[in-house]
Amino acid sequence: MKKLVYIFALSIMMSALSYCQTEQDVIVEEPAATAMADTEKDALLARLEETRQTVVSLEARFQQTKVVMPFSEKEYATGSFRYKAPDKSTWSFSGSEKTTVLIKGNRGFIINDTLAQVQIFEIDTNSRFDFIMAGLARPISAFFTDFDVVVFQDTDTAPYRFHLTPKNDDLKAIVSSFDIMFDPQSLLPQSFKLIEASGDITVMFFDEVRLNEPLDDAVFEYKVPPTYEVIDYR
Amino acid sequence: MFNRVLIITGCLIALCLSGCAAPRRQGIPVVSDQLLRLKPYSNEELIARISDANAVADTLRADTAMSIQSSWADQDKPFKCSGKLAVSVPGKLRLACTVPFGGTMMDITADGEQFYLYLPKEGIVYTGYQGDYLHSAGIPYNLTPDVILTALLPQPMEALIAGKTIYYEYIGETFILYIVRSYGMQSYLEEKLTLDALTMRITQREIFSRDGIKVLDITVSEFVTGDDNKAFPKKMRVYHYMTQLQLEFVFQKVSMNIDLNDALFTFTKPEHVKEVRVQ
Repeated sequence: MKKLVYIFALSIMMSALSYCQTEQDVIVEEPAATAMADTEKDALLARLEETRQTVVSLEARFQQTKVVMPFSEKEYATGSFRYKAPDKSTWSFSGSEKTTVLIKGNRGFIINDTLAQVQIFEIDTNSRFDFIMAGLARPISAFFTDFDVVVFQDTDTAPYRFHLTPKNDDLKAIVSSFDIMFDPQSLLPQSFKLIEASGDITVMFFDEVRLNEPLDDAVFEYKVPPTYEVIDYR
Repeated sequence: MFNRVLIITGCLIALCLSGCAAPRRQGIPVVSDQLLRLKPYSNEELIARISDANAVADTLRADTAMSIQSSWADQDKPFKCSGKLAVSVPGKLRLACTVPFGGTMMDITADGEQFYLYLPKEGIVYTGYQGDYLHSAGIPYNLTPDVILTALLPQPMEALIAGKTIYYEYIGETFILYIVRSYGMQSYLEEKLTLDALTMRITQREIFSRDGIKVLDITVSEFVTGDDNKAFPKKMRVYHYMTQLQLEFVFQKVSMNIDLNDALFTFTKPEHVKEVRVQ
């Protein structure tokens, strides 16, 4: 059950993401491109890290498309994302099942209003994905510990695409690949695509980004309603 | 006077049918000629009424919210998730639990012979024979596919009672149907159906073993009806006594008797995923 945390790890990984310019709900096919040289990649990582350190708060809308194998049906979800440095974030999904994921430090909550249920978990319970859970709290290069990373950019105006593939078999049994697209102007992530070993595909785009605007701490406060079922996995 | 006799006889029969056994044991109903005279319908009429009121499917596809709990699997808390479900006779099942981020966290396949309990976030798949009870090998979710299939795909009434004897009684607004199977010189209560006497919708199914032990208790509620006016439950609670497995389903987007590709009931193990065979 602890590896439920993996799911939330992915969510926090996305807390590094910001926006996209177009509404897309299809699985993105990556264009063919030449891989960036290591020196160029290192320089880019340094610039991304500089940008990351300037982020105090971030709010955005997101659109998610998910393909669940073997049903091969696309599921769509939209919602809002909020981040406040150094380690608070929320993901609020709207749609048929209203779910909010709240992360505060090492503690996570999945609040499912449809099921009237709250799951509580500790991020550190799965150290393999700690680096992902840390999100903006850690340098972007920390994401790459267990992955081979290749960076592509088709043209000067195209997004930087970080293509991650797992290094070890344990991780390969879970994830096939992970792509993060960074906007070349803002240097903030604008979308991601996760392909799991199961074949499931998740694509998320961000838009309506508001960067470093005042964000009340109350956004990250949550009191479990007395009627809700609490499942504590810590 | 005649009515009093009927009532008293009915009460006596009801007592014989339901009250004498231990809580989890059901004795073979004692039947007298009086019972036959109490029947308001012929068997054929009864079957027709129940069949007209309750949807039975060869295939079923639905989205579902699901809760799983089993003390045998050392679960002290229920596991809950949203999922996608497909079932098909004979004995095929696919059930995927999904999460808000990422895709599937639990994927169960039963192809009619083998089961596969795949945990994508763990990178592991448990396999075994479909009818085996999954309470060994450290499987975190004690889900036996045949239990789910029995609950979700009840037999049509004609097939359910074929070659068997049926008895029934009224208790208030409830109609109880006993289905008794005979083999050799012995008989045993195989299934007890509880129906709403007004609508003839089945609200509870209790399934017993040959030695009178209750195996499965399936309770349903909050029905929806299709174009044919037959009811399908929105909510289902399943309790399997041997494994102490409790399942709860809340169904949405239900489609019945649709074509389901066989690939849906075929599991292909992804590369690098560890396989654990349950003995």
